Amino acid sequence: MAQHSSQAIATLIDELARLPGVGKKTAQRFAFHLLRAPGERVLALSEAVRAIKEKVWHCSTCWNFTESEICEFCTDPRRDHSLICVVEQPNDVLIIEKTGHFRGLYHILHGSLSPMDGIHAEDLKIQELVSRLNESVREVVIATNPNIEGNVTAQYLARLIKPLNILVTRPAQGLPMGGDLEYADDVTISRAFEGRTEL
Amino acid sequence: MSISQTQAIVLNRYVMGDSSLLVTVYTREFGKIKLVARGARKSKNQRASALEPFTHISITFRHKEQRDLQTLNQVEVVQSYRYLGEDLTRMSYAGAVSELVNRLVIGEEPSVELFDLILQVLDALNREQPVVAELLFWGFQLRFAMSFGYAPQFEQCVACGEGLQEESLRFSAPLGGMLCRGCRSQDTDAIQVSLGTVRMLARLQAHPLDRLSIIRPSRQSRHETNRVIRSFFAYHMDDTRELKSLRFLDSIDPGTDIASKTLAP
Ligand SMILES: [Zn+2]
Ligand SMILES: [Zn+2]
Repeated sequence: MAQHSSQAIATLIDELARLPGVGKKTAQRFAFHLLRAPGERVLALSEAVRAIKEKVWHCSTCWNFTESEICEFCTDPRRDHSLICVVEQPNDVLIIEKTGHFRGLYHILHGSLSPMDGIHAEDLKIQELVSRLNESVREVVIATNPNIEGNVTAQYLARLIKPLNILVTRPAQGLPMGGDLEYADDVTISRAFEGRTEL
Repeated sequence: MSISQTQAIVLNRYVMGDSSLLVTVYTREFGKIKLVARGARKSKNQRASALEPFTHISITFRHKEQRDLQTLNQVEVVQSYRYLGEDLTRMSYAGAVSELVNRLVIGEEPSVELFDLILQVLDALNREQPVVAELLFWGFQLRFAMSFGYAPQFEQCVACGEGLQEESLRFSAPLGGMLCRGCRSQDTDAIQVSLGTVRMLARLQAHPLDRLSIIRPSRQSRHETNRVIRSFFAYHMDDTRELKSLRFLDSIDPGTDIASKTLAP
């Protein structure tokens, strides 16, 4: 890697290159773009980056990102509070919302169980899920990724929740095994939710 | 560099970058190798499903000798063991098999015998009831040690060759087998094992994996068997680390897991 004439540029490139999918070359392009951009645009970007660390935290109910104590999903009276969809990451909520078909609430685990990699129940927001399950909850849809870890997690949650007399379902086949919600299209996700099966 | 073709078993895989996978496989022809599967996570591409752990696949890859990472070209599923993914116990033992192979097979040391053994145990774990999984795993461990040239002796005393009849027997990992009462002084650190457990260990070693389901080990036998196998692996294969998959299984044991902690009055 060539030496940069400025330490500030070198530092910016290093930081940008840590972003997912950004290599050294792309990081350099971004850095030089920012150098040429008007001052207020660059300040707006740096302000936006700073704000996510100062203003955004986790909803104390569903563990999604929010700027208030409880997020807009959890406080929305028009949503079906008897239905909870469990996902691995906040990003999965965006993907499911985009289809516009699901009207219940969410719960974000922040990961999935993995026997081989030693990720256990206490490493995820599982206890927090169980403590949400009162009499008004009718169904829990487990929309963890359709891979080994997602299935382990679904099996485990089903074992935990079914004794509470709550229906536990999983989106139907059609989400390709080994895949990621992130890469499935809207139609596939909608169909999978409509045809969910009991665990 | 050449293009190689072989059958393989997926041991584990990790996400790499945005959409690629880093996959560790045990191949029939080349032993353990690591492959990069570019773009495999994008779901229109069916490769991700073929690269799930414990899948028996057929692959072609760009093979560079002396390189740690190879590039996957094509992959097809030969057999996927779907019941492994639907039960926590089966899945955890399959994970333990994969961990053990991944840990103790260093690199490209091909062994058709080991390849067939891994397939056999995955197939049995997939087919048999979950209660049999622990027996299958013990059977696998004993055969796995044998594939490295270590076969513990459970039929007779390793020191004098006498048959094993009495109750107070000991297992010596350094000597590689059982010691009768008379020979016990040969290894004062040897582990005490009941005659019933010794008979079971002999069966685990000698009977085919698909005939182990008739064994019903007692609590004591399970405990002794785990100690015997662990001490043998520690001494001969320098493997003392706990398997994460088995620790996971312990952690979800009803009674100790998060469920009972959360739901307790
Ligand atoms: Zn919320
Ligand atoms: Zn003897």
